[in-house]
Amino acid sequence: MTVKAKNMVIRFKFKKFGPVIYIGHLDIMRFFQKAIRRSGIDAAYTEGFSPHLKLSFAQPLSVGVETDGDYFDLEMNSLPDMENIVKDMNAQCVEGIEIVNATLLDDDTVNGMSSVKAADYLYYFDDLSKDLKLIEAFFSQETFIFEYVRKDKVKTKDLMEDIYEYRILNDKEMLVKVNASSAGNLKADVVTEALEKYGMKAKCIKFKRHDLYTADDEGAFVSLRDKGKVYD
Amino acid sequence: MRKTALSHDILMTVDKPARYIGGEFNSVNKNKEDIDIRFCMCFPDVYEIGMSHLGIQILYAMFNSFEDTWCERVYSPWPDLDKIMRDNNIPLFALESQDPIKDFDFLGITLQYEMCYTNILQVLELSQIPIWAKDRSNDDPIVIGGGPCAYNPEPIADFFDIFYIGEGEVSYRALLDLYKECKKEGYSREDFLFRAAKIDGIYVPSLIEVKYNDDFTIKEFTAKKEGVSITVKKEVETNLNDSYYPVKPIIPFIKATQDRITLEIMRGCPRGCRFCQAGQLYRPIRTRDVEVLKDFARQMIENSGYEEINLSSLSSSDYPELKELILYLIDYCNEKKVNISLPSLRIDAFSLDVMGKVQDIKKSSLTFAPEAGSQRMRNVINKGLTEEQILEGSRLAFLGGWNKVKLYFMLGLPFETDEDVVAIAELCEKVAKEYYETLPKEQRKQRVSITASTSFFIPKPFTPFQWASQFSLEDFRDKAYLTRTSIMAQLNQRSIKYNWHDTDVSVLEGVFARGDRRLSKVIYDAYKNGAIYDAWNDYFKYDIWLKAFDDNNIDMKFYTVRKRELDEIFPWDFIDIGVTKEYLKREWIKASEEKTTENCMIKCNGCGANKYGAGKFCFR
Repeated sequence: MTVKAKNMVIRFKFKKFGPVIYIGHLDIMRFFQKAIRRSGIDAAYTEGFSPHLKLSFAQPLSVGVETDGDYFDLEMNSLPDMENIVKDMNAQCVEGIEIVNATLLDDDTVNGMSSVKAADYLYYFDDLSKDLKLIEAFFSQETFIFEYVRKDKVKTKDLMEDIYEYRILNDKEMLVKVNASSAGNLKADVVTEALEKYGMKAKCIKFKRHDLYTADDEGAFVSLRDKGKVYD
Repeated sequence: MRKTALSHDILMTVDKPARYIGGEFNSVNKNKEDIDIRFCMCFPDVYEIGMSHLGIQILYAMFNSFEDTWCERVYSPWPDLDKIMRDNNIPLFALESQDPIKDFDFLGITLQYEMCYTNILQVLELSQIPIWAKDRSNDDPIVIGGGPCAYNPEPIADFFDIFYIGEGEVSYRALLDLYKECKKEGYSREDFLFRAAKIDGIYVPSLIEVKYNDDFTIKEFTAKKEGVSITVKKEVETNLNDSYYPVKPIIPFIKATQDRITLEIMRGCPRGCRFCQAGQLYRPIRTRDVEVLKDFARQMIENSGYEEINLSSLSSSDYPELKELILYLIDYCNEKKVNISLPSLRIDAFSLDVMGKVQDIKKSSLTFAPEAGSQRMRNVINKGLTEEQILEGSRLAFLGGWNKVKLYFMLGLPFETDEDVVAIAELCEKVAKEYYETLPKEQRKQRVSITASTSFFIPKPFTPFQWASQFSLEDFRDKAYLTRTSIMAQLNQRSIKYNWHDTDVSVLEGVFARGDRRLSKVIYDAYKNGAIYDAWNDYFKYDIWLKAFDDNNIDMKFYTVRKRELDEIFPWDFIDIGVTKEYLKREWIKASEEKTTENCMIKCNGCGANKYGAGKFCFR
């Protein structure tokens, strides 16, 4: 974790949708490394025989999942034309990978994605209207110990510790904020699996990551985007 | 929004789904309504291998520069997806449009190595295109083969409608124009193929008949229709300065085997090593001007974002302006934070200086390819690298701080004796000794590390060694064993590491390299019995192949160890590569006499390739 003295880190928010969701996290990193190099902006590099960009990504997203709000931080050598940076970067992207905005981070912002605390996921259902009571009951529990299998390993978690809030947006959409810290990241599909176990009849058609949050000094969640001056 | 041919569930099941989604940066999408010809280019191996191939990128750039053509790509699905596609009857699709290949006009398959032949059948079958050319109808795509293995296309002749012999930049436009004309006139496949056969470089196997002698050697080639020529002339791009080049290369999402820019500096090679097929096929030698290369390098660095650039040619040390090019690249790449991956250069003060600038000396190693251990054997193969040059190069490198040396050799070369094999070990020992004699004890930071690798020599068509008998599997094993024990007998054996290649696959490669049309059925049977991805050790199943040869009553030894007479007609003799059979014969005889032939930049040896009138080093 380094704190840059000067205002020299740009945080990019990006979307990922369509066929490119099948590209894994490491390959998305490689994609952006090349895109940054192509764009010609004056990014900072490490020293040595094979210099690398000083680039860090937030919480990895599983293969096959869409996102409206993922981020990476890029350390700069000198600042580019911030008014055009989103457009210039998008010229180097492909269909389905899109820079949404760029934030010139405040001087005191922790550079590096260890600051991520929570994530919003947006779930799409066939019809939620008959399950509203059940959903409310589910999220109102003090504890919900849930056992699930991921990668052939049985995991047990108290989901209520890692689910922060939920919001039914309409009959088909629900937003849930969960723990996304490196220590306690809750995968989005665990929530729907638990809801189905709990008795929900509605079928989850798909879900996508909506945004990522850090916490301010009082512990309130702040979108990673809002840690500096935002350029659209 | 682009679609995917495969469902979400399938893409979530298979390994590396990004192999199948297309949409890479610099990949080309066109509107189907605006084009006349849909061409699908195939490398019959997995995506990461296929995407590393420069040739396809060149042709992709060329085809897509044609307004009436949309060129897309396809690679072999990995066995996990292969099974799913068969089980669910999903037709193989092109990456860009995700449309089934069976709906295309052309399927062009590059033939880079013999062991990909079963993968060709996989691509055809998954595409739901009849495997045998004779079973295809007007609605099926025209299946074209090209690349180095097309210079002996006979083992796979029955699977292809057309082979393109030579460099793709030259005749494809004429072929596409003919196709459009035929479409306008009411298309018939047969008529198109007949007319295509008249274009230079185009070979239509169904129009040439091969007649055999009783012993299965070839008696003659005859035309099946009047007006079909029984010789096919290789096509050569005469001017590399304004030929198509992929200055906007497709950038794969997943890491390809060659994860870097490839800058092709020249074609052809003046050295005339007698085992080397590329050295003969790509004659005459042609270079790209250094200013053109600088411009390509700049454009490709800007358009790709790659972190590394690699110079490609058969013999980069022979590129006349190499020094200027490398010094320029070092400056430019340093500024752009791009690494230079050097080709294997003749070791001298300049190359060591350059290597020291672009690599970490502690990690990098020095590479020599003496190919044979003894000077006698190096004269036989015409490898103009002497022991003195290797030792002097090593000495300079040791003084410069290197302590790792890699040496590449071949086993089973024609006229090879046990002494020649033992000489491999002795040469390694001499290099090790050179280290200890060059550096006083206090300057030796680490022990010297020498890696000797051997591959088995496989005689290839259009080389002076096309007449040579390949050694048997047992001989190969004995030779590898002798190499190993000889290395272990050396004083510095602990500093020498020895690697060798698999033997089974070398035998099969030898069969296909000099094979004839009788092998199509063997390849088909082996494929139907489960042979696929033969170039991959984990998938290669020798027993399937043995059974396929057995079932067809074909003896592999006919193609490998059999002695060939000087006047034998070879299956590939109907192809004219410029280099004459007479020249190859002279070279074969000189090899037996241990006589060398000069670098053709110094003296023309009359190989015949100058008839193309290309390149400034070939004189008429």
